[in-house]
Amino acid sequence: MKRRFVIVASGLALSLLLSLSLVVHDVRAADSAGPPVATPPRNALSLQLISIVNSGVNVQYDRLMAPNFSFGPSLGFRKSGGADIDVLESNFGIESRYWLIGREPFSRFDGRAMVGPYVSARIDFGITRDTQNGHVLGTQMSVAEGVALGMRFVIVRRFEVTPSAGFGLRTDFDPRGRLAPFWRGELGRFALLAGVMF
Amino acid sequence: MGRSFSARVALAIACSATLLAPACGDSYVEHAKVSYDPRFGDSTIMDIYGPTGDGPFPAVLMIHGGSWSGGNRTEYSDPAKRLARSGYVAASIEYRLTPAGKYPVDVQDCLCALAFLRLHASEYHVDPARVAAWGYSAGGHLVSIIGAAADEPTHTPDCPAAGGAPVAPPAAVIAGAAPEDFRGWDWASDYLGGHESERPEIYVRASPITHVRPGMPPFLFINGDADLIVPPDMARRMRDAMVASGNDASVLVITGGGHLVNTNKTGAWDVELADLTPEAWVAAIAFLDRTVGRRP
Repeated sequence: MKRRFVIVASGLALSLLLSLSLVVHDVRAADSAGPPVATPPRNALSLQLISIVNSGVNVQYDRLMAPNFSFGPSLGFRKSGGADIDVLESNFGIESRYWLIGREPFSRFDGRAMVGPYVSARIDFGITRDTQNGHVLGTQMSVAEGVALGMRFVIVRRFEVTPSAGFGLRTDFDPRGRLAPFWRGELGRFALLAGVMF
Repeated sequence: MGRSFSARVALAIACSATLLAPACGDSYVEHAKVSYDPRFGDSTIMDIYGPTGDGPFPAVLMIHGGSWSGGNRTEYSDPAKRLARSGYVAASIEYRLTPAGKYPVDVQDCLCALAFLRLHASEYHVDPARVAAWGYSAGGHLVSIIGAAADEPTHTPDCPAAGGAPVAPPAAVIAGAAPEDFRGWDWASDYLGGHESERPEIYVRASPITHVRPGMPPFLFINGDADLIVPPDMARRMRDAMVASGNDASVLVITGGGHLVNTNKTGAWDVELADLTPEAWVAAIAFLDRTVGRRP
């Protein structure tokens, strides 16, 4: 079951990336004629690669709102457990990024773009639900804030890879009040996104 | 604890958004540095956190990890406080570490702490019949071995709290990333006083899985499926052996979980123990509520 989920999630993710790349290629065919690309893309759609190898899918959208500033939501699901206890998690987050210089070595964008090093702040809302033999063991909700330092590389045309590292604070709480709230400092938070800019 | 759902969400966001977050939430009572065996000074102390009120409350003995050679009781301070706010007395203990605390000395210390908590139950508002144990890594091994083999003669502590008698096992066990079988696993030669070829009988006796039999307390195992130090197969084999003997045992495997790093909801990696992830907390509190119960 878990393997099938990973295969389906990976297939969907790859299909999404391929489709987007074809769209981008068609719409911006002229871009490939020669450097530099005239208009830096104002959008990016990325997948969290770590989640894909861990029975999850997490998609993040990024929209350039000002020359140095982008903003966007993310949505994700993750399946865990699988021995005696099954776990389903979902997450909605919002991240804002400040692009420090707007350039990086491999892109051909003319002018500043959502590339290169950035600092970000994000907030995430998540729900975790455990079940055992079809019986719901409980639910936990989380609110997590964090800051990160990352770097977006454009590797081929508009395909991007964005590693980041950061830290934050997470509050877990039980919506039914069964468990008292719990605060965790997340001292090491590592992410690896890959996607397409358009 | 009687807040509405929306009030809890608002409170969580407000608390989460400030570094003063620990000031939010229900209160608890703390007894710091309580000695359970005065002979060994600060090596055998515990911090006890409990709910406000007279109880008696169910309790959880919390045993930290650190390869039997490191770590300390503060690793479980925050989880213990959470349990205290949730209706459990939680005692996070120190125990003697290697080289002084080689097997079975640390097992004796843990059983001594358990005996102390029961002996002083009225003082700390504990129900002595409802004391569980929770540990991670080396602490997972220790809670497993006191759950499976408390009556093994070499495990009997000689501390005043135990009075020289065997100590009854905990009423329930949560074992996170616990080495359940030392045979063929070469990470514990310092702890066990030599390699398996040199001390095969110690490797057998120190392995919880070799003590499985009917009548054991319920176990919940929590493991990461990408844990390269303590593979989750150990927990699965222990669970299978326990269930085959008519015991209550279940496994929560954290997908993508390592020994010290786990995947969070956003798909990123966090430095965190598997037994403190949100999914582990949900499973753990459900297990504790079912086995040792909460506020009467």
